[in-house]
Amino acid sequence: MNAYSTRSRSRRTHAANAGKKRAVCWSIMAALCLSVFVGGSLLASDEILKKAMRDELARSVDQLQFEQFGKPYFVAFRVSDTESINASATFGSVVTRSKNRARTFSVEIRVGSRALDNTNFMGMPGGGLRYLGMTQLPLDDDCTELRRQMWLATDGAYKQAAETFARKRSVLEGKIVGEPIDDFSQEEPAVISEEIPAPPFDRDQAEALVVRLSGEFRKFPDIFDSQVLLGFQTHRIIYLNSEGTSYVRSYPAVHIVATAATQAEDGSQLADFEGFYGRSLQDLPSDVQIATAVQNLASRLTSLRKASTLDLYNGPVLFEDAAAAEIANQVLVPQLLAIRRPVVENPQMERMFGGDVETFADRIGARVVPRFLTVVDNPLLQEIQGTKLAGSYKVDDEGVPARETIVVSQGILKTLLAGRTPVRGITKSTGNRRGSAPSPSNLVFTPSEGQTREALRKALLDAAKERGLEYGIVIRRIQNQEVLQRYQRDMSRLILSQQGGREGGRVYSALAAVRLYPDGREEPVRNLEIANLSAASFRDILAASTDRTVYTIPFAARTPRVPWMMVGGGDNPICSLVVPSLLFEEVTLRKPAAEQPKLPVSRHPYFAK
Amino acid sequence: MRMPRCVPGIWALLLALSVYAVAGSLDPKPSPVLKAMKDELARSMDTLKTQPVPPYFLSYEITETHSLSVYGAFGTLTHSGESKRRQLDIDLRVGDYKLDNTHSIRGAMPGMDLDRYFFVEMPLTDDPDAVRSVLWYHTDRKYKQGVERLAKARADVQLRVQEEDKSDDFSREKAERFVGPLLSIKIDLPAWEKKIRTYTAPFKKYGQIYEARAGLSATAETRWFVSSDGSELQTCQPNYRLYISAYTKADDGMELPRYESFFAFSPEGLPDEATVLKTVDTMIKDLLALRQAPVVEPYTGPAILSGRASGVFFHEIFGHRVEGHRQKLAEDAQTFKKMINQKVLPDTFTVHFDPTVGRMAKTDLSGRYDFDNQGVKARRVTVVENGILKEFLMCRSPIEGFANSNGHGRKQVGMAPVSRQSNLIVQVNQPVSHGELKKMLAARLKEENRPFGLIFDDIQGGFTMTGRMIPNAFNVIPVMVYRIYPDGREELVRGVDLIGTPLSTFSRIVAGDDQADVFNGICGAESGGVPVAAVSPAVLVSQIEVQKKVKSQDRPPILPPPFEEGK
Repeated sequence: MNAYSTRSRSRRTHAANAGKKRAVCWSIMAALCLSVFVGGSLLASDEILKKAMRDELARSVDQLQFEQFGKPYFVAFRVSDTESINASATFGSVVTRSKNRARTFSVEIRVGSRALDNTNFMGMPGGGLRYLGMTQLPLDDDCTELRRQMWLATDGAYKQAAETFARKRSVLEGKIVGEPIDDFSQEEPAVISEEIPAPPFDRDQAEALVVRLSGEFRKFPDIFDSQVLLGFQTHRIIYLNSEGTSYVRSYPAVHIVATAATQAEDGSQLADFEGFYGRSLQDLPSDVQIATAVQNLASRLTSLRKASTLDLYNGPVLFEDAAAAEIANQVLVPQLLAIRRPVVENPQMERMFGGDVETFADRIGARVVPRFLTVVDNPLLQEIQGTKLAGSYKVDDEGVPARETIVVSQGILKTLLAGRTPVRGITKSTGNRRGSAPSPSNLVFTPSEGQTREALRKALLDAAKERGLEYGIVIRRIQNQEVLQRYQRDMSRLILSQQGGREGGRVYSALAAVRLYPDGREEPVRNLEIANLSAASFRDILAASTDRTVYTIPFAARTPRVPWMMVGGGDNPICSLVVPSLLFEEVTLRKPAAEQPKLPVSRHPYFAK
Repeated sequence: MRMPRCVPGIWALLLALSVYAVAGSLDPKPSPVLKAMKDELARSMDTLKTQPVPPYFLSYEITETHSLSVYGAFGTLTHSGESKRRQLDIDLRVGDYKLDNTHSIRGAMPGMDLDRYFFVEMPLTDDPDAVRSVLWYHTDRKYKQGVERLAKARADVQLRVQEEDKSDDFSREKAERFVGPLLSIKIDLPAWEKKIRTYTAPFKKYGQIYEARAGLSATAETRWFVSSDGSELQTCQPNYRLYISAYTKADDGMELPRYESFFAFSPEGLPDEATVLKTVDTMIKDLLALRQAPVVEPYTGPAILSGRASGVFFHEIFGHRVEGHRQKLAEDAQTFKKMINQKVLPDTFTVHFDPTVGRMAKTDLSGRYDFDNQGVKARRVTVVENGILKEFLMCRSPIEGFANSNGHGRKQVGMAPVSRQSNLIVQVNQPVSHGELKKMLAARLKEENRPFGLIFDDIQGGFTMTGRMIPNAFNVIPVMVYRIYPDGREELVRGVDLIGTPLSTFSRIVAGDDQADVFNGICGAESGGVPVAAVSPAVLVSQIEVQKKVKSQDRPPILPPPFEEGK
């Protein structure tokens, strides 16, 4: 008996059952016994799970109703089965190691209609807090128990949706609504399967690698604190909604991130990271290459300690390589997302948790970057310039098929990356819902008139000369506070490092830069505050390089979210940005105003011996 | 607002062996971690003494928590795994014993004093280089924070009115040296996975029971402590907790929980399968009965509190008010501050806190320890003797009239220690039998012409407020409450919490019976969650007050359970 024929037989059994109204788990169990024999425990799990989901979803759609409230017009079930192995080390010793498996069920319920439903509302949550539409499922494949948890979570989610809908309507009663925008987009049903098998993963070997990498810091006396983390996950997501869309998406993911911190001689904090992301360890650079990158991180920070500072600079700035990608990530990319401004119950709440809703929605058709730049998001792309991309997928979290989206064509903004929540001018999803918000996947910047590295440096010097400046500034590293906080795992640092700008706006900071003189001499500078830079500044980019950097990071969308809505916000999606070096005409750089902590009183004990 | 709160506890244990059942090697050796800590501490004190504001005290504590845990629900497994972590605590003090950087700053936003929180993971290996590099980095940061805070504290003392309590900030204590054996936890994980499934399976057939979970956690907590006083400690304590929790809902939306748990220092100390399954049966019966039970309206009258209920009652209304540091804080109500050597309870009542006793009433006590988190040796403290208040629970923060610690400086990892409870033990000198206690209650009902009294049998936990901003009240959350009628008839009821204010409630405690019962739980307050126990006989209170319970406004599920559909 071969596996294939058995599988198809069990599938037929389910098809026969699907038509019946009541769930009969026993017949499924019988069918399953067959597939278990042929070794597909995953298949067994899937079939029981899918059956439980299908039956409970059908029942919810048909029957779930409070007297005065309508039945839900949309129900989606998602089961996420994640196995994760994590390890971290410092100074050649393991600090944390864990292995976990969790099966989570989440349900999305919409009452009302596409035009107006319970979502896109910021207010006190309706109903009790016991079920927020999310629950832990048993790890055992017990159909009755899977359904019990689905039943209870769905019940809670429905009641909450009904109450939220009533509240939202009452808030709208007292308001004049401009041009109404639908709450939910209409999409074609799709059935998609994307299964990337997990490679074998040797936990001991991975831990040994982390230990070895963290031991590299024993060669660097001027690094005060460092760590190396490794995470390996296998995700399996089964999704089903009442419109007939369903998908199974399973994929492995691995990351290695090294962080290091020191202080410059004037006390300024210097912290940076190197991150590697892929499907498997085999996807990542070799151990030796990663070790070299870790050493570079340490030596880069070590030499920065002695770099000079800069009081004030107004003039052209070249963001080189990773710095260009990072500044795009922090300043421009958040504006390319269709994030809806919610109906707000309490204006104070919006001020506190409002997020980035002022996106480029009203700039569609306008020029947002120079004509020589085109920006395309493409989750279907697997690699570029021989480098693997980490933001690839076939179907997004809402079951919308992945597709290429031209966001900016020759400087003109064409659309925003969207999920199924429309914003003004965007009525359809682009298949970019990832986690709690639309996010980029593989976002590729392509210059039509790229310049060589040398030409770009010359253009910088020319622009500087025109302004009567002795030198131009090349920025090499932009601080990504989000990533650092995420990986440094130091609560005290996390609390203390919240800082706002002097003018109230966002402040970006350049960790490492150089003064570039006409004779080609480079003089390192550090800790520059980038003031008055906004997405609008990208319009005035003077030039871009032909060479592009593939830059992969967890992307953090700044959505309007009140703390209690963050339950299950989950991990930030990994995204790959492909960005050329960028020359800006006018950027203000200055010394940060904050006081700096003193240097350590004693030397690091290892190096004081 | 300070709101110590006790989460559901752990109790009623049958077959335990003694605390020392899990013996380690006979000749315990200090871990290399201890030496690394000692070396870095010496080096830190040495280099920092050259600074303009040198530290006068430094201690390191590393806590290793090694746990195996299995959770399940309704006959299925939801988690099974192992975890191990080592976390660091640093107490670094600049200034002097009289006034240092830990001095309370009046008018500061409560809870915003970030120096109180500190979460640092330490290497899991004993590699001294890695251990010392982390110690060095964080000592330096602590030192800088300390210098800054000392300046603030000094300014506060000069700017504000004179403090009521002028005692020192830190006490001088004897250095302690102790190296205990490193013990490991031993459980059969697959066997426990099976047990957890078995223990939760009986709930499966009830669609009205919305949650039914069980969990086992086996944890060995190893602590290494060194201080500039010269203390050097290595202690290790394994413990095993099994809990079962379930809840149902009455038709009016009221959530009705039942919680049972077992605590022991050895796996053999946990009850056998038959005993647990019997408990599960009782839980199910209680839950179904609670759904039908009548709701009690607010009421005042006499009541009996079972041993465990009384334990929680004493823990809340009394225990939190004899925590020494509360007599010093300007924002605290300081109920007992001026009542030393005065009568606070009936003559027949004596109350001890004893962290040195590991077992009473056939139950292991979770508030046992050898040394507190400030390296002070645990000792028995008699707080009330024959009704007279004698002493407070002390950490190394002196208060007027009490210059030294009595080994009750406790905390959760990552928090700053304050004085906390250990094993609270209520003793009654002339106890009556339980039957006699009920007769006394019945007599009062007749005398006062009341229709009924209340019996609080099982309790979920409680909380109390000890600040001055809001009334100083306590709330004990019962699970199983019975109305007792003058003719002795008992009827299960639901929907009330036991409330009151401390001094008036103490004066109404009348008598206690001759059976002690144990409540093991985790007590939460400003220094985090710490394991505690309360041992008490059942007591008769001449007048208690009950108020309506917070009630969920959610209806029971709209659809029937999937497995009952169509029935």
